[in-house]
Amino acid sequence: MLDELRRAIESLTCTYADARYQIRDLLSISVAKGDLEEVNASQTTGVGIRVLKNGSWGFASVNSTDAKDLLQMAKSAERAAELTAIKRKTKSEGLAEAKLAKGVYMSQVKGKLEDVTTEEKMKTVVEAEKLMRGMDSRIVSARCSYNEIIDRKYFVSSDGGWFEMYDSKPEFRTAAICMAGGEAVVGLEAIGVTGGWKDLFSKNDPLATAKTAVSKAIRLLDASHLKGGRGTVILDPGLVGLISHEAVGHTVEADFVKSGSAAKQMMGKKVASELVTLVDSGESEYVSGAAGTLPVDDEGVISRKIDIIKRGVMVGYLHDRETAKTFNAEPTGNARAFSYNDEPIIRMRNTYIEPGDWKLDELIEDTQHGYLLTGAMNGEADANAEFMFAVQEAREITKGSLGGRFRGVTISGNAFDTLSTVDAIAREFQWDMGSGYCGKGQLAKVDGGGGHLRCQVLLGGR
Amino acid sequence: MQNDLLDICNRVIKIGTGLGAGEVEVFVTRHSSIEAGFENNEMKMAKRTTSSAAGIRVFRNRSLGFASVNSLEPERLEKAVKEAVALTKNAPADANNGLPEPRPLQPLSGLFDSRIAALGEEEVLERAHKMLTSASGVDPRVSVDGGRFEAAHGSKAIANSFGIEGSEEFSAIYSDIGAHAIEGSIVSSLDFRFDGTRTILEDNSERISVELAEATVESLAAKKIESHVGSVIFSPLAAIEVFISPIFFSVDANNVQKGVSRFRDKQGEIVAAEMLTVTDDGTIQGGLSSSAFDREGIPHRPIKIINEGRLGAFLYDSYTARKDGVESNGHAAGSPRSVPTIDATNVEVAAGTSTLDDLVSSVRRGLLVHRFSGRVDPVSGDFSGVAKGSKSIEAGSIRGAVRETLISGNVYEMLTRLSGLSRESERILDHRLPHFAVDGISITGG
Repeated sequence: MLDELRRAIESLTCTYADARYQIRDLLSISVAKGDLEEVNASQTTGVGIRVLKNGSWGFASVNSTDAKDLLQMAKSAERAAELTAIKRKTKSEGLAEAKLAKGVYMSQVKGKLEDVTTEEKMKTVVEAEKLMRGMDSRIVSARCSYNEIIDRKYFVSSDGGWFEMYDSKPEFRTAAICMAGGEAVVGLEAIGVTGGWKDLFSKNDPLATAKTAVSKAIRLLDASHLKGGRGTVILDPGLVGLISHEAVGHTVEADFVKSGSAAKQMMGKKVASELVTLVDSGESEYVSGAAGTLPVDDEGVISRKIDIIKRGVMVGYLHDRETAKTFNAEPTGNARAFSYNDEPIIRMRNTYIEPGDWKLDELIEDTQHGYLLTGAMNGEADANAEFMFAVQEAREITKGSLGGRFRGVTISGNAFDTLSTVDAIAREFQWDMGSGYCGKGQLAKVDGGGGHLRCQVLLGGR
Repeated sequence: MQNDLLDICNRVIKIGTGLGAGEVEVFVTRHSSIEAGFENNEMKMAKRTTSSAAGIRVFRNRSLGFASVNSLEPERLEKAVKEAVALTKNAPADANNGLPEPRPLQPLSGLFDSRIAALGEEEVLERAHKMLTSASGVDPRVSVDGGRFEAAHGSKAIANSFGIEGSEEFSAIYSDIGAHAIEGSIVSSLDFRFDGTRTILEDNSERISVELAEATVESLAAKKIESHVGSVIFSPLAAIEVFISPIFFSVDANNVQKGVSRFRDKQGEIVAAEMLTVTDDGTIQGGLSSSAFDREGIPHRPIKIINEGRLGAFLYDSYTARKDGVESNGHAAGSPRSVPTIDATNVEVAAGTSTLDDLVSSVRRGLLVHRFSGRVDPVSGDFSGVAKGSKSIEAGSIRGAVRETLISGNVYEMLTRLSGLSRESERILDHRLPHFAVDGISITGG
C-alpha cells in the first residue's frame, strides 16, 4: 500500500505532500434496560491526500484505493492548494525539519480485541447492565455500552517519512439511573484505554465498574444542591486531567496561540504555582494504557513528551510541522487526524499534571473548609482560559473531615488563575479521561490525569 | 442516480435474505462536498470530499444484527451483510424487533438546490474569504480563530425486505465562524456563530460573521457582577440548549419506555406555561431536517410536542411504536453508519406576544444570555453553567457585558413558570424559536 500512496503523490509539483490510508474497524454494543439497542460492526477505509503548494494547503479524500482515484485526488488537492493560495495575504513559511518515522508501529496489547469473540463482548455488556438494574429497587434504568476502535494506518510523505501503524482503543461505559421523590440522578462510570481487552479491565472488571456506577447514583440520591460561591476544592485526577486538557492544553495549541489565545503572551512567564508541571505526551507515563497514547502523529513525526508548564513557568506549546517552523520550535508530534477524510490539525494526546508528594488523606485532613470534587463530566473552556466543568459529586470538608454530599455542581474560573492557587498535589497518579473524546472540528481520543490537587475555584450550585 | 442506489439496496436485501435473515433493511448515501476553511485570520485550506456509505440492518428470529461500510463496492457490501447476519447469532431475541411495513411516500420539494451542487472550489473559497474579511472588517481588535464555508450535495436511498423504497436528492450549505477580540492584555471570550440552509439564496454566512465580530468587541468590556436571584432572558440559541434539548429528550419514546423521561406518565397533562407550544415537522418545504421519509423509510408525521403547555405526542420509531402498540410517527433518525435512533426533525416554538424590548423592560435585575455553556441533565432537568456572551439588565435596560457568570436551576420546573416568549423568532439550523424569559433564577457572579 505504501508504494501506491507514493505513486499518487510523486507526480505532483509542490512544496510538500503526504498521503494516508486508514482502515478503521469499529464495534459498538449498547444495552439499555434490558434492550439491545445497538450491535454495530462498521468498517471505514479511505485515503486522504494533503498538498502544500504556493504557500497554501489543499486536501482531498476518497473512499477508494484504486490507483486512478488516488491520482485524481492528489491532483484535486494540488488544485485546491493553488486556488487557496490566490486568496491568502501571507504564505505558509513551510514545514520545520522533524524526526520522521520510518517504520512499523504496533501498539502493545494484552488480549487482542480481534481475539475476543463478539459473543463474549456482548455477554459482558448484557450482564453488567442487568446487574445494575438488579442492585437496588431505586434504579429505574441502566445503560451499558462497549466500543472499540481498531485502526491500521499507512503513511508516506514527499520528504521521506513513512510508517505503518496498528492502534487499538476500547471503551466501556456504565450509567445507573435512580428516581426518588420525582428526582432523577445518574451515576456514571467509564473506562477507555489504548490496549486490548485485558488492558481495558486491568484495574476494574466490568461488573465492578457497573457496581461503582450504581453506588454513585445511590449516594447522589440524598445529596443536596450547593450554594454557589468561591471556595477551596480538592480536584480528583479526572478533573485535574480536564483542567489540564480543556482549560490549559487548548490555549497552548500553537494554532490557537497564533490567533491570540491567553497563552500567547505567557511564554517564559510564571503562570501557575511552582508545584505545577503540566505535560502533554504521546506516551503513557506513570500508568500504562492511557487512551491518547500515540507513537507517531499524522505528519509522520515521532511523538515527544512536552513540558507545557514547568514548575509554574510556561515553557512549551504544542506544534505541527508548520507552526513549529513559524515559532522556530521543534515539532512535537501533535498533528492528528481522526479519520482518513480529516486533515491533520494540532491536537493533544495524554495531558496531565505531574504528581506531588501528599497522600489524599493528608490533603483532606489539612483542609479547614472546602469540597472534595469527584467525577468529571462535560466541560468547556475558552481561548482566554476561562473554563466551566460539571462535577458528579462534591463532598464538604470541614476541619479536615469529610461531610455532606452535593450534586449538580459546576466549577469555573480562569485556568491560570486557578493553577496559581494550587498549594498541594497528591502523589498517587491516575488517568481518568480515556472514555471520552476531544472535539475540535474532528474527534480525537485523548487522556488526562494527575494526582488529587487542591486549589481555589468558583463553585456553581442551584 | 437514485435508482442506481435503490438497485444497490435491493441487491443487498436479496443477499441478506438468501443468508437466512428474515428481514433486511439497507440505507445508502452518496455524498460530495467542497469546503474552504480559514484559521488565524488567514485562509487555510480548500478541501474536497467524496464519500458513500451503506448501513445494513437485519433481523433473524427477532435478533438484531447491523453492519456498515463506507463503500458501495459489491464485495464490501456482501462482506457487510454477512457480518450483520452473523451478529444476530449472539444477539438476544426481542419480540418488538422488526422492520416497518411500507406506507405511501410523498416527494418533498426544496431539498435540492442545483446551484449548490454546481458550486466549485473558486466560489466556495470566495464565500469563505468573504466571511473572514467581513468579520475582520468590523474592528481591528477582532481576531478570527477559524471557520469554514461548505457546500454539500448527495443522494440517499432506503429499501427493506417488506417493500419499502424511498430515495431523494439533497443539498445544503453550512457556515461557521469562531472569533474573539483582543485589546492590550484583555482577551475576550471566544464566541461562535453557525448556519446551515438548503438553498444558496438563504446563505447567511456574511451576516453571521459580522454579527459575531460585533459581539466579540462588545464583550471586551465584560465585567464581573454580584451574585443574585434574578430574571433571565435566554436567546433562541441558549433556549435550544437549556429548554429544547431536555424537552426532546423527554418526548423520545425510547427514554419514556426506559423510565428516564420526566414526561413518562404525563401525556395530556400540563407540563409548561400555557404560552408554550412546540411542534416537530419533518415535512416543511426546504427545512434542513426535512425529508420524504425517516431513517426506516416511513414518512415524517408533523406532531405537536407541547400544545399550550399541555404535553402532546412522543417521538416514535417502529420499535418503540410496536412496544407501545401505536404507529410510528416517522422519527427514526441517523446516518447509515449506525442503527436508527430517535430524533427530532424541524422544531418550531410558537412566538410570544411581547417584543424582546418589552421583555427586557420588565426585568428589574437579571441577565440577557446569548449562549449557555454547561451541563443540562435531561433526566433530572438540573442545569448549571456559564452564561456566555451575556449582558446584565438593570431596571429594564440592558447594561454592559458580563463575565464569569454562572446560572443554574431546573428546566422542568422553569418550563411551568415561563414569564414570557418574544414576538421575534430566529431560525437556527433546523429550529425556529423566540427568546424565553424566566424569573427567579440563581445567578452567581465571579
